[in-house]
Amino acid sequence: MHTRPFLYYLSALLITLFLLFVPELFWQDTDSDDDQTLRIMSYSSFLQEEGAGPELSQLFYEQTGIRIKWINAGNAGLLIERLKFKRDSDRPDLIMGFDQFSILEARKSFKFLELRDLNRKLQNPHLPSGSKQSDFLAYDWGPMTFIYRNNEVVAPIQLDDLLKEDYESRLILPDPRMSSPGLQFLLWVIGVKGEDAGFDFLKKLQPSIRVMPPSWSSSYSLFKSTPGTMVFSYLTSPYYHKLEENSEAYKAAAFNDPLPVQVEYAAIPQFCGRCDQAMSFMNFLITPGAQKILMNKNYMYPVALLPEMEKDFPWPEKNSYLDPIETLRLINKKKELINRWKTVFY
Amino acid sequence: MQSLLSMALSLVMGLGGALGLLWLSSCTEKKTFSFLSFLCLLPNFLPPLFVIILSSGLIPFLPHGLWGLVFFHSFINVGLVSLIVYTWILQQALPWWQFSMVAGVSPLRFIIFILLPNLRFHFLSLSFFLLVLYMLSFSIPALIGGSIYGGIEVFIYEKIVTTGNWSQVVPYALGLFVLTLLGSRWLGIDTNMQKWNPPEAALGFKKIAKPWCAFFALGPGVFLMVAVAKNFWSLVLNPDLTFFNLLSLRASLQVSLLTALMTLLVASLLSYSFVKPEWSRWLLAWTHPGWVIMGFSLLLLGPESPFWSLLKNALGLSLLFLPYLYRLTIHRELQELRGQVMVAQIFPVSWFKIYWFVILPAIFPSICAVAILAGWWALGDFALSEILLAPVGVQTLAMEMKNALSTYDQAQALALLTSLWIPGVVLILIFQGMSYVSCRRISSLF
Repeated sequence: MHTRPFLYYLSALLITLFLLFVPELFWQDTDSDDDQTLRIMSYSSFLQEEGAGPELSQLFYEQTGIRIKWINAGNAGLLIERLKFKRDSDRPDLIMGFDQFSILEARKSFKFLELRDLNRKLQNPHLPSGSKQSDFLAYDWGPMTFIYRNNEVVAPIQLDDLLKEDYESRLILPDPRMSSPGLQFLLWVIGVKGEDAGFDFLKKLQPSIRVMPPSWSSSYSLFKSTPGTMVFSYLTSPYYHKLEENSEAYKAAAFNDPLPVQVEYAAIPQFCGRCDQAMSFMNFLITPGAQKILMNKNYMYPVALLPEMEKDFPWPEKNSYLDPIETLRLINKKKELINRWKTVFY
Repeated sequence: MQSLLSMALSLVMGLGGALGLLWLSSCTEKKTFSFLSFLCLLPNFLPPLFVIILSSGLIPFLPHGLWGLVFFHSFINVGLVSLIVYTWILQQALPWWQFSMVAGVSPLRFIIFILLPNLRFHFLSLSFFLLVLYMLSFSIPALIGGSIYGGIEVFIYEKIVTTGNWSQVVPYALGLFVLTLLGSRWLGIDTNMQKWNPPEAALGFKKIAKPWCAFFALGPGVFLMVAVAKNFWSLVLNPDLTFFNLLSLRASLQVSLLTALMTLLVASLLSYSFVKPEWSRWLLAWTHPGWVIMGFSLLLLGPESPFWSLLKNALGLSLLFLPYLYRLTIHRELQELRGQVMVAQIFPVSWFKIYWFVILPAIFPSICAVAILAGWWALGDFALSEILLAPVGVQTLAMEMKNALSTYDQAQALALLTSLWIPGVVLILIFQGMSYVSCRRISSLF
């Protein structure tokens, strides 16, 4: 007698599930056979509705008539691994989201088209030297420093200040093993102090470190929810709070020491199927329109000069950055430095 | 070391919490106690990052490093451990306690000399479960432990990111898998439970049940509920926030329902293969080799389309959650059925009929409950989903939460977090309904 309701229930459940999955069941990758659609791979937050991706593709389509299909690689740290898993037919024509560290790994696994001519077009005096690469195009950048809230901590002006008791258990640093900004901090310390003295400094810094989260986003979230802390982030981070939250409370510490710089790059792999369209997109990336979108969505400095940015997004007052040759030497020793870093913190 | 310390603290606090739950169940109605049980499990349902963010919003000086790690591991799991130990005491310890009362044994002596020694295999099993759970935990060690107390899962992720080569970590993941399998096999736990006492039996434990002990079991859940409520009003008053968009809500519902359904199928399959205790022990020993490894392994399977990716994601999440859930719930019920199955096997009936008429009716409500838990946990996942679903354009609420955090927008992330209850309620309704109609079907069989 009661078997019937059970069967009704099962049928209703199966129909509900079927309806819920109708778009996925009848999904067809219509773009894959379209020769005109440019396939670009990037990380999740870049491609989300509020990210730069959707606006860039809209503007690019308006200017060139070329559509873009974004391939979401998920986490930026797994971009290269994701690329290795792609079948030849699914591989992207262009990749966005590399930084100084990942381009070295990328070059080991893949070959990329030359972009010297495009790089020559970047004539921004604010752009740190050493940002230009022969096969990668920088599209935004940002110096890195500590961010704090007004009236909660005294702003440090040199690295040694961080050893003071005032900063005990106040620093939130992304983990250099898993996060690019974390690695920037390690290179900063070593770049400023030298290798041996740098690691001595890190040993002494331990009481000041509160936590070392695995990513920049979790570091910044903890900073926002924990009063009295400072986070290692972008010099441009306070602009977000100013423009989006109308808050002047967030400040970037102005260090006397030269600052490290994080640069984001795009590249065209040699296996690209629509290489001409990819090159058009690269040209588009450094136009004022695209640069403005990147600046407003990523909260990073543009690589091109934008006259109207001075009001809300002024260029950094001081142009003292880590020596790019020294930085490159350190990046090449990344594995060795991380192993040594482990001996300090383990 | 962090796993051992976290395990020890969770067990001690869990034992205290269980005594508190005994007191609560002896003086509350069944429905109230069900709500309190939900509060115990609340910290398990929230993504760890949010547990930390919400906690740090209320407590200015949270511990970090080793002690922070031990604190948060215990904070998140003490409710679960309390509920498990509470169930054991209720099931097994009533006659022991009655004899002890007659003999004039003090409550403390009863706990130390009677309860703990007699439940030693249960506690060994629970210890091993907690140890593996803490060893494989990623978010808490990565967020709170700093570099020093990273744990194995953090080490695996670090290797992938620093070497840029997934294949290099496969030996580590396999080694870990084999080690936990052997460890579990060596323990050879068979938590055979034949007795069951209804919740009213808690009245019998009046003397050892302590009201203040309930703080251990309920403290974290109540604390987080207050934190969520405090944030909720500030979020509602913020007109710039979007609580959800329909597409991500649908994706979350798909992930959650598919994971629950997959868990239901795998758990049914596991219970179907319940033939010998030896088999069961190996099944119990199974622990997953890590989230990231699981994600990249599943990338190799089948085509890359939204439907297949959703299926692979649900399979991965089921395989990640099921070992714990199976170990803690279904296994015990299967053990209880051993006698009935042996009697049924005397008659010339097929194994399928024994399964269909004896095993499945008895354990189906538990399987549904396990499916709900797995489905609910799946709602908060963004680690595996980001590997499998992001490339095919499927964005769940949890993935949007993570993206919001990546673009400074913590308020938006918290708004999305509060929306997770919508697919959660749909999930509960569907699977509780299934449990209900199946019980009616079963009762009609007799």
